[in-house]
Amino acid sequence: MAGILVDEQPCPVGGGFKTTCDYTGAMLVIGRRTAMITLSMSREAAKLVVAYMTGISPAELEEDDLADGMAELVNMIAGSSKSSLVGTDFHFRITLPFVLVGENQHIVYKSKPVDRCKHYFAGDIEATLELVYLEG
Amino acid sequence: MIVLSVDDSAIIRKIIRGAVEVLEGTLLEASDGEEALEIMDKHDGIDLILLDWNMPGMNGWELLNRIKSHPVYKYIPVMMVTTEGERENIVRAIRAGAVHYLVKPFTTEDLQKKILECLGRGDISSN
Repeated sequence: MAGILVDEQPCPVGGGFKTTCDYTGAMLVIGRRTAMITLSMSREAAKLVVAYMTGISPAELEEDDLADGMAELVNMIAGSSKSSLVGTDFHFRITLPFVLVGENQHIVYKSKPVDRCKHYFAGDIEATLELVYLEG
Repeated sequence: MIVLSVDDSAIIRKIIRGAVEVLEGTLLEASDGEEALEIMDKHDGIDLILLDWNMPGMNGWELLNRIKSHPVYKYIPVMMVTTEGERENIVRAIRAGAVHYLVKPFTTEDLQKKILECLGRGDISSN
């Protein structure tokens, strides 16, 4: 549905790394451990991704469409991860997706660095996917 | 052809609307189970229900059971539209009376093909 081929690379290692973005799609993953999956990108990137996903011209996409599209994307990513773990000991539940919207925002985690982080690139589109365990 | 899409995602409903309009059908839209039941009360002749699984309020599973226990609505074919993570629920849904399923992400062509299959204008096959 998104129809985009992307290149990926690990995020820089180190405590100073921050992902700054305008839209973050997020879902909680609840199992033996509790984690949050986030997909973050700029407003321009979100427009392109949601346009690819829907077939709607970027110019016609409204703010609600972008937030909704980001929620659906992270839903699909978390859902795919969940499916790949069926039959293993790592079964988990996922919550409904939600979206953080705001210019140049980033998430500050209280106690832990990001556990898994990847950057994705496709032309002008840049996105960051993170998984963070939320236990103390 | 009248199709009811029940999905909390407006963007998914937009994609479905585009696909249904290409098939020269009409799309009714509900963002949760309660709204879907209200729409079904008001509209006769719904040919197909496309039902998301994971929704706030009354979710897809609850709505499917309400539909299939209703004396009139139970005859309307239901296709589940789910993410990959809900795949394990598909068997449960089919046993409860859903006729087909579509896993997100999907292409418009997949969607149109499965809509036609549900309406008896194509072969139902698993994906």
